[in-house]
This record gives sequence, structure tokens and C-alpha cells, in this order.
Amino acid sequence: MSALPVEEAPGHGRALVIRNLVKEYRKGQPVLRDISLSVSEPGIVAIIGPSGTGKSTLIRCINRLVDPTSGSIMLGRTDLAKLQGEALRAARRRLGMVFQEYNLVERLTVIENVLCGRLGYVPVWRAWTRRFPEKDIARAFALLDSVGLADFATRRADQLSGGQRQRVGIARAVMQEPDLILADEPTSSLDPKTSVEIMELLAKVGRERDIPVLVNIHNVALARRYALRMIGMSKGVVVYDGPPSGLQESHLAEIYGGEGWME
Amino acid sequence: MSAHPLSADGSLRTRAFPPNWPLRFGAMLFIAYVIYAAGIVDVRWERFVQGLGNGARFLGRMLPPNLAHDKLQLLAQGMLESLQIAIIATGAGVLLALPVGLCAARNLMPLPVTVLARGLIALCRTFHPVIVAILFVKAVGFGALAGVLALIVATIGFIAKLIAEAIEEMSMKPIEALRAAGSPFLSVVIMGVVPQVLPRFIGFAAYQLDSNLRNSALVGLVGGGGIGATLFTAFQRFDYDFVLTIIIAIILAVMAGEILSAFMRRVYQDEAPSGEVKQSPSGLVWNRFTAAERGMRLAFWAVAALALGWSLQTIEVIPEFLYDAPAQTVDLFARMWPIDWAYFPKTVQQALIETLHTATLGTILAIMLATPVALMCARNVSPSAWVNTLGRFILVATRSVHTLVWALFFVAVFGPGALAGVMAVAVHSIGFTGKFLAEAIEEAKPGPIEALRAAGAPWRSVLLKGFWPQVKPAFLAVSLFRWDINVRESAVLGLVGAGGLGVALQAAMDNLYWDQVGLVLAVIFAVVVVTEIVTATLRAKII
Repeated sequence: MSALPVEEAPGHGRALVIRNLVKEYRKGQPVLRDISLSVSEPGIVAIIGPSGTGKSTLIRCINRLVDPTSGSIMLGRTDLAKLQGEALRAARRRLGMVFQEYNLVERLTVIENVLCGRLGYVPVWRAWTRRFPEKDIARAFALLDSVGLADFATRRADQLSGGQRQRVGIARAVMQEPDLILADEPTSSLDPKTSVEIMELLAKVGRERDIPVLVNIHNVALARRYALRMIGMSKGVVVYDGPPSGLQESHLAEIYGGEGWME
Repeated sequence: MSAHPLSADGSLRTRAFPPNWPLRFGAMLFIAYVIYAAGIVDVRWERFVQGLGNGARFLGRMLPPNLAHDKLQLLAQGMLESLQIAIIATGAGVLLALPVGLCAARNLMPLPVTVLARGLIALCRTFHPVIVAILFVKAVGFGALAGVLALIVATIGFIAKLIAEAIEEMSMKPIEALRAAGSPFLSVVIMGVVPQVLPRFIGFAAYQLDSNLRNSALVGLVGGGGIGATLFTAFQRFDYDFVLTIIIAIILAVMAGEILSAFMRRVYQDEAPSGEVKQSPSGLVWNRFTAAERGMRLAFWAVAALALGWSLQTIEVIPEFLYDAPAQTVDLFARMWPIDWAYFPKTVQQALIETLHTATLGTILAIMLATPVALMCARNVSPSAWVNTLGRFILVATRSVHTLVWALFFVAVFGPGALAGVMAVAVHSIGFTGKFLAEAIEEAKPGPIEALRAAGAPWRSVLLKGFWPQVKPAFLAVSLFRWDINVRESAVLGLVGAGGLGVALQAAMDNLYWDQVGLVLAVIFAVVVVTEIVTATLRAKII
């Protein structure tokens, strides 16, 4: 199908290079058909495309919440697609994930939710007794401060608004000290103003930490505004990969099908 | 509209209420069954009248309750031992149930593990605690230890099943997030599963303490120690006034237990800890709990540990018996094998039929008795607070006294046999059935009720056309569930002479024919499995 040229992985250890990725939930019905792309530049890379086109599956294949059928997903020198057990967990620590519905542990406090980002690093007894290392707790406070939730540390997560919850979700992902952040529809459950704030925050995280932020997003205008690069997907293949400025109406018509909706 | 409602020959008239032949046929079949089954368990008018006379004499001898000093001392001793049995069984049972329940959760564990864990749970649930207690009495000797072990088995079966269900119903989203962060499995459990399941778990544990307190009166009947032993002795000595004292004490203890567990649930479920953030010279410090919260938790754990320590220390365990237990258990099962199949046509078949009829008739009678009580208890139907309180008291009182204790009572009234069993099952079931029915009635939507009242319908019509259609599914489900439980209970009633498989079990044990005991246990196992399948199928049809 689409054979976009794949750049050789640069020396940069955090480059993500996906080659010939295929995912079939049911045999013979691929959701992802031979995806190849590489991401190494910091900042937001927006993936757009209609519902059911495999955007979420692509993101979930990268951190292996979904197991790919074939292909490779190189992060630096490791092939994420082949990892199991301990090695997979070690690799997942390098990939922060932000979810559409925040996926916080509702009955835990905000600070506990942020510290959940360290669970891949700390031994089980520290999670049990909540004795996280001093350094981690200090960072959690700093992060809460930077996402504007400094006063909410001891609130339970289920007492927060949607936008606040997503900020906690982002803080949790950053807490992992990731080489890459994956965000699966991070704004789809939020109102327009909050959506802008969340995209702003994700862009800031990418800039300040100098890491790529791969974002699935439905809102094309919002994507254009914050993305440095856009990937358009349709029916399981990449049909556009380039700067937002190069994304023409003809591309959108190809991605979403038809033109009536663009009026 | 076009159909002529008044056409002379009625041929064109659409009938709003066509006769429901399957329903009528079913009702006739039902009545025929009740008459037939009543004949089998020997329900006769003269027996009933004679029983009423006996009952009156019996009650006369029970009153007033015996409050003599030496009796009260016996009572206190028995109650204390029962309390200790309940505390140890709940503590140990809950601790053991945690890993079993986790392993049984299909959304976290691989299939083979869940199958094993579910098998263990099913095994723990199949046999009535009394039967388990009998086996433990044989293995570790008479006394509290056998009772503790039997109730631990029951606790594992109940709590592990509920934990597994709670885990399967929780949200997987946070779990996914923690996995995506690379957390090891146990950390996912601690930070993702525990917070979601904890409130319900506290509820189960509190309920189980209460239920073990009730059941510890039960295991004593077969030699498992505690107040049950005191009660059984009092029955055998015809000390009926002391029997009444003991029963009142049990009811009070169970009520106190219910109040305590309701309190525990409120403290632990609604006020989740929040912790605090403090400024210290080296920066911000986070404490998971405030000082007050920490104090409360510390106090709770201290009380729990003290209670457990006290119970463990005081409970009478003969070490020689304990060391001997594994060998004794193996020996017991070895003697049961091979099973004596010849015993089946001789005695067991008849007893099995009797057990099934006892359970069914008892459940039917229970529903008939429980319905008016449920109406008294439902706050949206009950005419006054007094009636309501009376109804609630009936529910608690019938439920607190176990079926087997009721059976002792009814055997004294009606004489040995299945009739006493039917009455025992019926009366004990009032509490359970009435409670769930009352809740179903309270959950009925007020809209249709108001509409009927507004149209001037008398209360009987409101019940029939407003409440009944709304309550019907719950009514059928509760009846079915209770029948399932009653089959298990009916299988052990014979131990105190109230008919059914228990009689065959007792006879085999008295004669030390262990191969026959093995047969009866196998039959009970089969019956329980079949009942589970039947009720599960029927329930799926109703809902």
C-alpha cells in the first residue's frame, strides 16, 4: 500500500521508527495496514483521521496496550513489538501516555495519582506503604505546580473537573520522565476552551522536555494550531505526513471522505 | 377503533384480557404439586392441630426465660466462645480469601489460574458449614477449633467470590494507565485495584463478621463449640426456659453485630482518607493521612489485633489433636472410599426426594409468610411507623435464629420428620425473603402508584396493579435464590431430626459406616451442583 520512505534512525536514542506495522483484531481484517513512519523531533505530532481508522490502535501498539500483528516499532535500539514481561515494563517507563478519559484512579488523591507515574521505577513495598523517594515527591509537587494544581494535592481525583483531571493525567505521564508522550484523544471529552489549554500544556511539555508528543486528535483546527507536523490516516494507512501548512483541502477530503462537512 | 366493541356475538370484539392458558395450567400444576408434596412430608390437619397444642405447651415451658445466675454464667461462656470463633474465622478467612478472590478475577488473571481459584471457591461453597464442621470435628476433635476451621472455609467461599465479582466489575481504565506506565503487577493491584475495590470489600468483611457470629451458633450443634453447644445441651435436657434465654441472647448479639457493621461501613466507605501537605524547611512534605486519620486507623487496627490476639489465646486448642489432624483427615476420606452405592436405593433416594420437597414447600410457605411482612416493612406502603418497626423486628428475629435451631424447635412441636423441616425452612427464610422483597417494593417507581391513587383506586388495587407489576421480576429472582439456599439447608436438617438427607447422614455416621457417609456427601454435592445450574438457567430467563 503506501510506502512512504522511512528515514534511518538518527543517533538520537529516543527516535521512534515504525516499520510495516500491521494490526488485525480479526484475521484478514487489518485495522492498520502496513504503517511506516518515524518520529524524532520534539513537539506535537498530530495524527488526524476519521473514527475507526486505527489512530488509537496505532498509539496503543506503540506502548503495547495492543499487541501488533506484524512489523517493528523501534524506540532507539529496542524493538517494542518484541518485548515481554520485565523488558516491556522497562520500555513502557520511557513512554508516557495521556488518555481520553484521563484514566485516573478515582479514589486516590491527586498527588497519589501523579506518583503512579513512578510505579515502574519504585519497588512494590514503596507503593504499598506510599513511601515514595523524597526526590519523587518533590518532583510531583513541582509538576502539580507547573500544571496549575498546586493546591489540589490532597483532593481526591473524583472531585476534579475534566480539565483538571487531564492536567493530572499529563503530570502523571511526565512523572515517568518519558522519552516520548502518547496522547490518545486527550481533548475529546473536554469543552473547547479547556481543549485549547490542554493542547497548550502538551506543547509546552514537548518544548521544555525536548521530547516528541504524539497526539491523536479529532479537531483539525486545533491540531493545525499546535502541531509541528501532521499525519493524516484513512482506512488504516497514512495518507498525509508533513507540516500543517502543507495540509490541503484535497488531503482532508481524502482523509475524511466527501467535502460537504468542510463548508 | 374500527373493531366494534359492542357487536352482539362478540366475534369482532378485541379482548383486552385474553385468558392466559399457560399461566392457568401452570397454576393448576403448582397446586397439584403442593398437595402431592404435602402428602409426602405428611402434613395432616390433625398433626398440625396437635402441633399447635404442643407448641403452646412448649412456649409455656419457655416462659419466663431462665435468668438464674449459673445459667447466665453458662450463657456468657458460650457467647464469648462464639464471639471468639467468629473473630478468628473472619480474620483468617478474609486474609485467605483475598488472594483466592484476586486469582479468580477473570479480567486480571490468566484463564487457568481463574479456573483453579473458582474451583476452590465452588468447593468451599458447596457444603453447608454444618457438614464441614462435622468433618472437622472428626479430624481435630470436639471443640472450638473445629468450628473455627469450618467457618474459615465458609468465609473463603463467600468473600473470595464477592471479591472476584467486585474486581471484575471495576473500571479497567486506571489499570490500563498504570500498566502503560510500566508498573509491576503487584503495584497495579495496590494502586489501581485496591482503591477501587476497598469500599465494597469493607462491606463484605463487616457482613461476614456478623454472619459468622450467627453461624458460630450453628457449628456448636454438631460439636464445634460455642453457644451452639450450650443451646444443644439445653434442648437435650429439656431446659426450655434456658433455650429461650440463649435465643434472645443470640438475637441481641446479631442485632448488635448488624449495628456495628453498619457503622464500620459508614466510617470506611464514605470518608476516604485525604492526607495533608505541610511546609517543612526542606520543602513540601506529603503525609498520606492527617494526624487524626492516622489515629483513627491505628485505633481500628489496634482493636482488631487485640480482639484477634485475645481470641487466639483463649480459644481451646488441644495441640495433640491439631498435629494429628492431617492424618485423621486422610484416614477419614480413605474410609469413605469406595462409596457404598448399595445404600442409595435403600435409604438415600427416599431422603433425597424428601429434602427436595422440604426445600420447595418451605420456600413456598416462606414467600406466603414473608409477603405481608415485606409490605409492613416497605416504607412507601407501610401504614404506620409502629407496623414498620414490628415488621423489621420480625425480619431480624427470624433471620437471626438459624434454620437448624428453628428445626430443633419444630421437632419438639411437631415431632421428628419433614414437617418440622418445612416449618423451619419457612420461618427462617422469612427474614431473608422479606428483606429483599421490602427493598424491591421501596424501589418501585412512585409515578404509576400516584396515578392509581389519583384515580381513586382502593389500596388492594394499588398493590395489585401499581406495585405488583413492578416488583414481579425481583420477587421471582428472590424466590429462586432462596430456593437455592434452602436446598442446601434442607440437606442438613435431618441432623436434628427434621427429615431428609441429614437423617441418612446421621444414621451412617452413628453406625460408623463411612462409605455410606461418602455416598450421602456425594449425593449432596450432586444436588447442589444441579440446583445451581437450574437456578442460573431460570434466572437468566427471568432477567
